[in-house]
Amino acid sequence: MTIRTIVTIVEETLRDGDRDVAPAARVAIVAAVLRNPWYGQGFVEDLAPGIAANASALGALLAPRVVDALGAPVEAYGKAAIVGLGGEVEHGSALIHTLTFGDHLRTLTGASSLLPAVEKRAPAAASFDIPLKHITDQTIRSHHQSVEVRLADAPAEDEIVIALAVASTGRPHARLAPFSTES
Amino acid sequence: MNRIRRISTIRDEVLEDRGRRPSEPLIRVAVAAAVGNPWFASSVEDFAADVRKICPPLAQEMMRRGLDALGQPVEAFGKAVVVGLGGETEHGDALVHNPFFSDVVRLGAGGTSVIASTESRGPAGTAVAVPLCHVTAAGTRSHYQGMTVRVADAPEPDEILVVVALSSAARPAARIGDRRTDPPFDPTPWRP
Repeated sequence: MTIRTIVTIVEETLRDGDRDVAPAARVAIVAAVLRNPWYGQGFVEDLAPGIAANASALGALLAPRVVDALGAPVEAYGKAAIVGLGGEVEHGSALIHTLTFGDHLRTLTGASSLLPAVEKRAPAAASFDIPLKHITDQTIRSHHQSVEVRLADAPAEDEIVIALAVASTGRPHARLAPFSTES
Repeated sequence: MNRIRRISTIRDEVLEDRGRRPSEPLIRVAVAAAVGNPWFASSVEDFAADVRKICPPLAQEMMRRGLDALGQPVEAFGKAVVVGLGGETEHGDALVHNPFFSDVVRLGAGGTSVIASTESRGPAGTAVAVPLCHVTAAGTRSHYQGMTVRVADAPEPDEILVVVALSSAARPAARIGDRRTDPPFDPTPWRP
């Protein structure tokens, strides 16, 4: 696995709707820019060997970094795979849609729910929104949120951006009725 | 109106550049703070009193995050402002071109140089390429570098996005010499 750059972003929201958010709502993202392991090989039918060689190592690299960057208990999480234009969206999905990738973060955070994801092909500097949901119950409405990410020079044609995002809380001033109250 | 609404800390760790691997990863950090424009919807001629009050804690808050994220000595630094469309570019200049901001940045970075900068107006989501130069010898060519930063929802029209960028090292594959190594050149025949 060849990683060119690792980008860590921490976003702290201190005000929203003209009111203070206390404590500040924190979202952390860690993104690795790696060479697409299937680039330049034509149509590869069996992706399993590439998944085995990369997915768990990526999860092991990103999960502790993103938890550390957040600096608070993780309440919501999400993931992303953005494939450079020389690859297939399937290449990105291959690396993140496997328990060997996501279980590193689940284990660290005591999580049990599905990791919501964004997958797309795009040029460098494309912006992408990572969806986040509650780590144990995807129906907790206060924790549905997204964070926008954009890397100025990635993914290049032969690269994939793989990212994890975590949040310390739900949306600032979340005040929608819970799912269970609706008939 | 000058409180921080949002502060984003971005850390790039460059492990490889076109096949070259620096011996130590290059770390670049940018801290971007969306702050209320203290002079929004007013016509102010003299910024001095506001600047003296607002800038030191703002620069301290940003540099604490930046130094913590960099985690090693600062070799290059830069700054930028993007003024929301309800303000003047001059408002952004007022916030970062003064000793109350810059001297706190220099103190934190261990620097003495002028801090490279850009100033612009724009909508939320404007991408800004922050220029960096060496912290004690601004002419050091190996340390000219840029870091592109963008905060999706800032600056709002009544805000200013203030950015400080720090770097741990020269460009990963710096090889363009320096002013001392340049061959003699007489520009006279090329007078524009």
